[in-house]
Formats: sequence, structure tokens, C-alpha cells
Amino acid sequence: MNGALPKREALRLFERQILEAREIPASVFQSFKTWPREARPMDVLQAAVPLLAMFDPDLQDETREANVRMAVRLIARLPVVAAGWHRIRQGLDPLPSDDALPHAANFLWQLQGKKPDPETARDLDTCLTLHADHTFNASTFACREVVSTMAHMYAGHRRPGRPLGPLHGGANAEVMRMLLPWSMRRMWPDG
Amino acid sequence: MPLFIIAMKYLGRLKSCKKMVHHRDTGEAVVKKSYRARIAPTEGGSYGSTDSQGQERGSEGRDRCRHQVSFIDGEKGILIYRGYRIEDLAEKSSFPEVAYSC
Repeated sequence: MNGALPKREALRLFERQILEAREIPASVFQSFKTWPREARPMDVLQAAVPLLAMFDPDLQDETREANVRMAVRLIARLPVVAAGWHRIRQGLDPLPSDDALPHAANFLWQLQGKKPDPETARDLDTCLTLHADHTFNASTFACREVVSTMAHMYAGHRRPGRPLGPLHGGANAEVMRMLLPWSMRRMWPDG
Repeated sequence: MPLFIIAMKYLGRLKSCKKMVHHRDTGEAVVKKSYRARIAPTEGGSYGSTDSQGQERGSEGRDRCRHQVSFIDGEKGILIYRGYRIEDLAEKSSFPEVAYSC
């Protein structure tokens, strides 16, 4: 977003902005409750982005400041959406975010309903760092193609989801499927 | 400075910029002075188009683009965000910090 790592004060402000942008409109969760429970999370996430767009006050503003605010909202709200969907598909109510918890830890809290230990939260944070950017790949290309027509950020974000399939957007699920039997074998070598 | 760069700069085809590079041995990120091609020539040209205020808008009329956020070389196992190696970021940074910079 800014091209260089933040100074301490700027980072604190940025974290604060993410924290304050977490709250999502209640009607988004209301509509989740009408969706089929077996829907894949990636599809749900993709369908939720335009819903969030409709509530964004900066949608028609092309200035850099407005785009930064929208980016902050997307960063803050997508984990809330993912965790909320996980709760709703289990027949539970979404949990409110915890202002004392940083980004990754709050996601785990909203997903599982219990405070994560620092190590797990740190692992997820690292995972997010590793996934933050991978140059000009399929999703980035699709996104830039859309936003280059001066479409708003949400429109660009909608493209690079599930439709890219197991070779790109769906690759994460495949990786988990690959890793799961290994970790099982490590935990229960005899089974 | 090579003569070619001086000539191109004089013609307005290059503009100076700062570039983050990694020191080959220490891995430390350093800011170096560099030059990059002007995508949209100042007086309207074949690359990129500008609106009435001279601002570039989207990809209109543009036939190529660049990616400046990260660098990846899967074969060599290199991933760099904004001049920082992913190993350093994974160890010492946090996602909000990375999101701010990317």
C-alpha cells in the first residue's frame, strides 16, 4: 500500500485503523443464514465481497485516500466474514471481534470461540505474511485487469477467487489436503 | 553514469527513483538510486494516456504493465516483498506491517 515498511507510529495507527474497521454490517450475516451450509468458504468469501461493497461509503471516490480506506476495510473485514460463515454453517451465531486481540489472533477467536495461544496466533500471522503477495500471478493479473478500467477495489477483488480453480485460487485447499495425512501420521505414527 | 543513461535522461525517457536492493552477502536492504522508464511520455505519446490534468487513468491505451510489490524466483526459492526477503519478514515482521508496505 505504501511501498515501504512503516515506522513504529505509522504501524500503530494502521493497526488501529484495521481494528476499527472490523465491524461488518449485520445484514451481511443475515443473508449468510439463508445460504446453503455446504457452500465452499472460498465461494462464500467471493460472494460476500460485493455485499461489503454496497455498504462502503468510499466506493465512488477515486482518490488515493479513499482507496487506502477501502483496502483497510477489506483487510479488516474478510477474516470476520470467513469466521462468521464458519460459525453460521455450524448453526452458531457469529462472535463479536475482540479489540484486545491483533489481526490474526482475533480471527482465530472469532472462528473458534476461544482465545488462541500466542504461538498459534503467531503461526497464522506468519502464514498471512507468506501469502501477502506473489508477483504477477493469475489472480493479480485478473484483479489488475479489472481495476485498470477504473473499477472500484471490490470489483477487482471479486475476480481472483474460486473460479481460478485448483491451480491457483483453490490451491490452498489442495495444499491442506496434502499436508493433513502427513501431520496425522506424525501425531499417530501407528494409526 | 553511463552515457546512454545521461542521454535517455536528457530526452526525458528516464526518471530517477529509489530502489530497494539486497546486499548480496549480508542480505541487508539498502536504498539505491536508480532510473526507470517513463511509461507515459510527458507530451502524450504511444504509451499510456492522460486525462485533461495530465493524470494517467487506469490502463487506457497501455500495452504493458509492471509489478513492483514483490519478486519471486521459484526455482531458486527467492521471494522478496518491497526489497525485504520473505525469511526476514516471516521471522521479524507481522502481517499488518507487511500489508502496510505491500
